[in-house]
Amino acid sequence: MLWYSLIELDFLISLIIVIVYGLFSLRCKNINLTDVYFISRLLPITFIIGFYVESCNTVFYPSIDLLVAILTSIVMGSFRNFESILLLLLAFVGNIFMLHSIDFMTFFITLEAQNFCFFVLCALMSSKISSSFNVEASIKFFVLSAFTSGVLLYWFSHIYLITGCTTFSLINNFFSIGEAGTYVNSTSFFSYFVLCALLFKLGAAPLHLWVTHIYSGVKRNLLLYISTIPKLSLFGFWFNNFQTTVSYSSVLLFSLFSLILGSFSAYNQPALRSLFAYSTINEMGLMLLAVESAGFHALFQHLGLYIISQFLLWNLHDKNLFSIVALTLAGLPPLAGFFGKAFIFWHASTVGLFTTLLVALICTVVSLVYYLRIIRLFYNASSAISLRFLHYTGACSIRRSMIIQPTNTIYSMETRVALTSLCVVLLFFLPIFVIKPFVCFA
Amino acid sequence: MYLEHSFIALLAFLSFTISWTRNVFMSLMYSILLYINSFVVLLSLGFEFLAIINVLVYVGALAVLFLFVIMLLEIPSTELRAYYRGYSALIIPFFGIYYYARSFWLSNSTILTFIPTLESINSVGYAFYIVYADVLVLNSLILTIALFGALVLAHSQSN
Repeated sequence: MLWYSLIELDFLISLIIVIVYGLFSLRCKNINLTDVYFISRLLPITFIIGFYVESCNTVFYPSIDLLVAILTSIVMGSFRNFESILLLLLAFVGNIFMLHSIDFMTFFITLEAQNFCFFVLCALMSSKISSSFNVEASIKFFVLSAFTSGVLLYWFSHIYLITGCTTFSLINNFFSIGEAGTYVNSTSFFSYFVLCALLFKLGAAPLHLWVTHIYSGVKRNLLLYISTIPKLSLFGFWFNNFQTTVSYSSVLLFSLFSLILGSFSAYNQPALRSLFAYSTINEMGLMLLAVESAGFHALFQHLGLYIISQFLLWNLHDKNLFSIVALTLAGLPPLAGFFGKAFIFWHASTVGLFTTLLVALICTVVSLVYYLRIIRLFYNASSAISLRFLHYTGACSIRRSMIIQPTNTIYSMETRVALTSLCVVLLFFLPIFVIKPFVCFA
Repeated sequence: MYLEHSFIALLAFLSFTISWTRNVFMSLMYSILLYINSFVVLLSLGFEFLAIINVLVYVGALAVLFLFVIMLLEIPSTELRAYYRGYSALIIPFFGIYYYARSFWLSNSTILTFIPTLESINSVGYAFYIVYADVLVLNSLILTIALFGALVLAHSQSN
């Protein structure tokens, strides 16, 4: 197995070369750190393009690891520290190997790689005012994640005890005779608990408690990272490797919990961050509903829209556009979020989950209230103080966040305008591309 | 036969002297001797992997940790000795039980010798370096992240 994956493991050598290159910038005057940043932003994309160049495909088929590579190199642009960029590269390695893992051992190791990078990044990214929040959130997530890894290892060892092998596709060949002479899969009970560890990392309720703490305590660029890339890589792993080979019972319970908790808990939240933490939990409930009804196209479509809206959300300084992005998260019709949700609901109705569909619709209506409240706040507050910029304030109220001066921004004005206009165009024109399934299915 | 039984008896004796000495450093030395002794006993039972892991973790990490604690913190040994209530005498019944029970187990067929079959090392080596070799390389990635993360966090605190 080593010789098959030797070429991908050589990427670790390129990581060492990047580290040495970055260290040379300390000694040598001619080497600037911006060159190192450029190389490390280019590195994920060149790694993935190697697969495409080497393959014999005549048709270009974009895979999930290409998306993860592009997202990683985009997210790396908002980090200004060499250590954080390096940790993002190390997490990228974990992401890629998790998307290609078919074995419990590699799944666990690569999941831990991503988790470790996130712990360290969480504790690193601290501003002066909220450093204790960061450390507290990081420690909470660390302890919960360590416990989850323990649970995962325990049930994995159970599967190994019964079957004697760790590969996903081999553990399904073991059956025991259940009631009335039917054959029952021996390992589906245990694989469900392994799935629970994955759901913890996604932020599905009832394993969602770390999400609010992390979202309140970290900087915006790290929040951008945590909302986009781990979710994409985990759902990519689930779709590619886990759900075709490992049999488990349903995730409907997690989906229902996430929907109800995500929409009802957001009512009393004074801070913008925890509001969007609960909106994330809501969206995860929707994604799990899509997984449950086997609508994986709908899942990835909605996930893509969600990632674009998260990019806008944590990069915007203009409050009017911020409220429009909040609308697309809510799922109102002219914006693209509506079509993502509608497609998932259509899949759920195809399979026959009508009660869950009803609950999801009720929760969508309920969650509309606080999205519209954001719009009301941002459009009506100009009477008191004219405020065009949103400021990162950590865990404080919305009212207090409005009385602050604009910050030094990560991007220059032109790149921000370009990124914003690109994403807004995507959000407004994407419905044209996604409305087609409804025309076809009607 | 008497060699292996004396190693097992040495386990009990060393655990007695760990808490009986007044010197903190000698206590640590006796504990290191105890770990190495357990290594030998496990080897004679045929658990090579467990023996190596035992010595690696206990002597390599824990004893070194305690050594650093003793070196860097000034342990007032008289104050520690004041809390000693003679509980190292608890080992004496175990001495007695062991020597009493040995006469029941001692027969011609139970031979406790060191037979180097090396099965567990063979299986672990096969799994580590042949079946899961790429997972081992990915493990080095995790160790890099952990080491790098610890250093980066320590450095940023001092800033």
